[in-house]
Amino acid sequence: MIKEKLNQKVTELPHERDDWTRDITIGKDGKHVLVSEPYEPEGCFLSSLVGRKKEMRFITAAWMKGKTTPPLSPLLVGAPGVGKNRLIYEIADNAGKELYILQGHEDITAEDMACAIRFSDNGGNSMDYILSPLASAMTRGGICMIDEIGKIRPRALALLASVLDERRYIDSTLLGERIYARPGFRFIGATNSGEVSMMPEFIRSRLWPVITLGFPEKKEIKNIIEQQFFWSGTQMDDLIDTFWDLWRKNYGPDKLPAPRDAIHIFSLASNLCDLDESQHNDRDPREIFSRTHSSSGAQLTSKHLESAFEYLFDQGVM
Amino acid sequence: MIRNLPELDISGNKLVAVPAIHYRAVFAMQVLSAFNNRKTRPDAIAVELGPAAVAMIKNWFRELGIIGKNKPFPTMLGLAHQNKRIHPRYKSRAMDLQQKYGKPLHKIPPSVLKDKINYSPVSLICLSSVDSIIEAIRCAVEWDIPVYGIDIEETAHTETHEFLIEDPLKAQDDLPGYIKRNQTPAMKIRDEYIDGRREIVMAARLKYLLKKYKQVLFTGGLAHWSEIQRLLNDSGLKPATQISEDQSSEYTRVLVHPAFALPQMDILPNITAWYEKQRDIRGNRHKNSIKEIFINLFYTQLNAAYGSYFNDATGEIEPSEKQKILERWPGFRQLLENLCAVTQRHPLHFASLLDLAETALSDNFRDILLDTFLRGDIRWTLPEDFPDLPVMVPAGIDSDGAGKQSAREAIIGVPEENRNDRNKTKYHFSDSFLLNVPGDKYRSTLVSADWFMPEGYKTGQTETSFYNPWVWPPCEYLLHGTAYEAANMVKLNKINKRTEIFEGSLLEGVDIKATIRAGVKGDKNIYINSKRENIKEDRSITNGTSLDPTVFIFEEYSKMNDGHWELGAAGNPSIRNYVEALELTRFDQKIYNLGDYFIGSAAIEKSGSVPDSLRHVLAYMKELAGFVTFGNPCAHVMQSVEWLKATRYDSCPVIRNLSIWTLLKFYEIHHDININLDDWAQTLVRLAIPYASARVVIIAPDNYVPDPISYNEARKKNIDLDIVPLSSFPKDRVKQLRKRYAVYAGPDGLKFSKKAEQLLGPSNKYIEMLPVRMREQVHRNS
Repeated sequence: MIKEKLNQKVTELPHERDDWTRDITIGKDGKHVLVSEPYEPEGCFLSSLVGRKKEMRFITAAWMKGKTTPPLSPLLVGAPGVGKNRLIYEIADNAGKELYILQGHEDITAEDMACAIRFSDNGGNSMDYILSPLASAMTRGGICMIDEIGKIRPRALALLASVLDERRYIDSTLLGERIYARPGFRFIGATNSGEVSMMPEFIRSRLWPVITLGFPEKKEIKNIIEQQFFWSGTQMDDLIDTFWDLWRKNYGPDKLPAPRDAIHIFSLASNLCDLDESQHNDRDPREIFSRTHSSSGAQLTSKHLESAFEYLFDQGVM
Repeated sequence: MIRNLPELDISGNKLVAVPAIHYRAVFAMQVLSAFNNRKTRPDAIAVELGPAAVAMIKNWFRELGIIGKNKPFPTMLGLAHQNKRIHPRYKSRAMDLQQKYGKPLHKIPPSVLKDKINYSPVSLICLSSVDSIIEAIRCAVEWDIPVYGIDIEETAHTETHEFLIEDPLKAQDDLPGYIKRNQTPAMKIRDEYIDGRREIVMAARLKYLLKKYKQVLFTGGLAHWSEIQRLLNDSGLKPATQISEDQSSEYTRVLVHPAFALPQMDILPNITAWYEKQRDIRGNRHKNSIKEIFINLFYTQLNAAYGSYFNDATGEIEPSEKQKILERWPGFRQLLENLCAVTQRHPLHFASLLDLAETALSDNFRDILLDTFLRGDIRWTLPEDFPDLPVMVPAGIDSDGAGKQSAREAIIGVPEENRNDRNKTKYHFSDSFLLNVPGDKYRSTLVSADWFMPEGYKTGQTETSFYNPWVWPPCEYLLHGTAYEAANMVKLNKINKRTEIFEGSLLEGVDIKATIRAGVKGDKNIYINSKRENIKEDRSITNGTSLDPTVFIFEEYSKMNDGHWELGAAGNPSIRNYVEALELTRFDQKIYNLGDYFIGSAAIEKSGSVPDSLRHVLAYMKELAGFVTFGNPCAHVMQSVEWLKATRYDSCPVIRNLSIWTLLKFYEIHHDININLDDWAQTLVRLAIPYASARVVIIAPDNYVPDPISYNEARKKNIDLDIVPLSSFPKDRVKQLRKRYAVYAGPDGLKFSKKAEQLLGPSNKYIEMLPVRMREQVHRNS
């Protein structure tokens, strides 16, 4: 019975990115619905993932289906900016699977987890059903990540329970249908460390194993910076030394930066560097926004890094 | 089951090779099999170690009397070696570091050296029985066959890289096939400069041996084999002329703590015990697949851990946690199988198992797992088994012997000649260092459960993680709190006792004494008493970030003739690590011109004897006769930095070493003051004067009078010498002030052991005596 349901008809799907609002039919009545757009990260693949091999292995192992048991749905826990999303992008890319991300927040309702409606683009008085990223991943056999799952209210999470256990379906009241997950569907939740305890027990017990992402070591931060800002060349060692000196000054010796913090600081520094270069060469200010740092040929120096720190800390940004 | 070993014919003689993955029993078994097979039994053995290392190991095995006797192979002995080499790739970086720090490489913090130039001062060779090289030397000793170290004795460390190869267990049945499939990926870890040179030397020495012996067995790293093969077939490479057995090299025999041994004991610790049980030099051939045996070992121990967890002998595990683990156990087993599939290793590496248990189950389960696997059948060699042997243990173990520590930071303890009252060996521990061992897999795991330590060591005389003698902060707080109090007394006295010339208002009345005294000198002014404040702007009181210098004189100098001078540094040379980036230029200029010791205090003192009960926490105990502090306390390095920064690094003398003579020279050059040490009380005051902004407060016996030289020097600089009698303070306080002791602290004085605090009281005692801003300096970074 379940197998039959799993084999419900799904129309052949075009692969062009332009056709992301893919029209599929589900259910016995062949109801037309639109699926959400999968996320295809671009910028992050400018550099390869640094470290996190252990976590990658754990997630991959959790997603392998057992002989008699469904794949597990892990929960990624970590401070903001440590690379929870980045890790999932990498795994999705390695596995060649579509990644659907549902951004969690306080105003999500139970129905938002499954389906939404909108006025149709085709005119008339018709409405379109749009499957949520979760339901889209289930119908497409992709990966669904609910980011900030800890921020979603417990009653909105109720529908998720059946997705995460052996039932692997979600009921949509709006659609009047039960959507079954295809065999390739995988789920992962991500949340900040402080919000785990706020999740209801019926969800927490289903999200397992809990994989904690700590702050990367200094060496890994260095590698991340080197990969992201490879264009600044030979003086990178000095810049990174300056970065650590400034970081320690502002945060003390024990606290490590999240990769995102380090990247933001270096990004701002490189923008300041670009700005300096433009002003020095009397360029049209509008040009700044159309160029990338690597094309400007400007040399990023410790001075720019110091300015970036000064700005970020004086403004209370960090 | 073991089949043919790779063979090469070189000039009519035969080389039998066991290219190996280090510390994997399957390759050690291949070496053993070469001896069991008459066709492959060698006339000589060559291994990938230096000649001196091999000679040391060989002799040690002979001394241990392992040959032919059924006694357990010690787990784990090792040879530590001082490393003096740096990869040429880091030459310019090493130069930059020296320039940046303004000091030679050996004075730069080890963590910086490891981070920047991949330098670790000590290398360790573990004598692990599951390593093919160690097995080869062991066989050589047992069969009395010559064994040669053909590698270069000492090379720089190379970067470690991960590489993906097939599970080494597949080498059991078909070593040549395994080598063929995996030597190319293994070669990725080679460093062309370092390994290329080593391979040339090894090939040349092998050629020499193959001229001398008909059949030679070689074992070494798989990554080198391809290149060695090529060089052996290269007629352009001439054989070496000899292989010396130089034993003058700096290897030290050590007993290795399980934390460092574990990564070198195959994928499961109990494999070592199994290997010893099944090892039979005279002909045993393994009939079963060792993969099956290892899987069996793995699950036997895992199930035992499961049993121990639910039996819970300690009773500390919550029933709710047990219930949770029970529910998750099937999922955990599934995860385990999946992880084996993902990593293509079955059984799973023990380090990964621990990580998985921590992630998927609980910390308690992981601890029991660790305990079960490490207890297993292994008989760990303990310091009491080799009481004369130095021990290499992880730094940072708590006083109770436990601690979550990285298996990289090590410390060596050398046995002292004296033993304690229970006839246990006492150890003297030197500074810690970062060790280059392939232990990364275990970096996040507990590796130092207290049962590893023999009792004598666990309750030993020195705490391994706390090795820096550091003045106990309460001593500093009490002295500086008292100095602050004295400065306030001076202020109060001056407010009450000011005398002014009469100028129209009598204010508090005529000061008769002052008027008569003036009249005697011919001064016809009338003097009156005033309550107006007459105190110079004084950092001591108005600004807690930096006190003016204070001198303590506890004894009459004529009565003190057996004291010695001791200078107290504000921090230590590692202070630079804590200086803010924007301050570094100013700081560097200072230390470049003057030296890297900022002197926070100078003392004349007498040594006291440390009571036995405190011997393992106290480094020394002194009794002060006199003391001068140039400003704030130096509770730890970071607080010292705050103080120095607040005074722009000008608040105290800066010299190149902690000798009183260097300090006197400094005063002569920079302050034009010639001080001799004949009058120590005068010396203390004169040391203080150049660093005072308004006054030097002297806390001294009631009959103390400043000497004329000090008085004149102070007057020239417009500095007041204000005396506060010792009797102003309670006797008990004065007695306490004189005690100055140093405790074994963590690096840079940032941490003290729990034991020290138990015995001496809290490390922040008396801190409330300090002014608020000074307290902030202490707390801000601690």
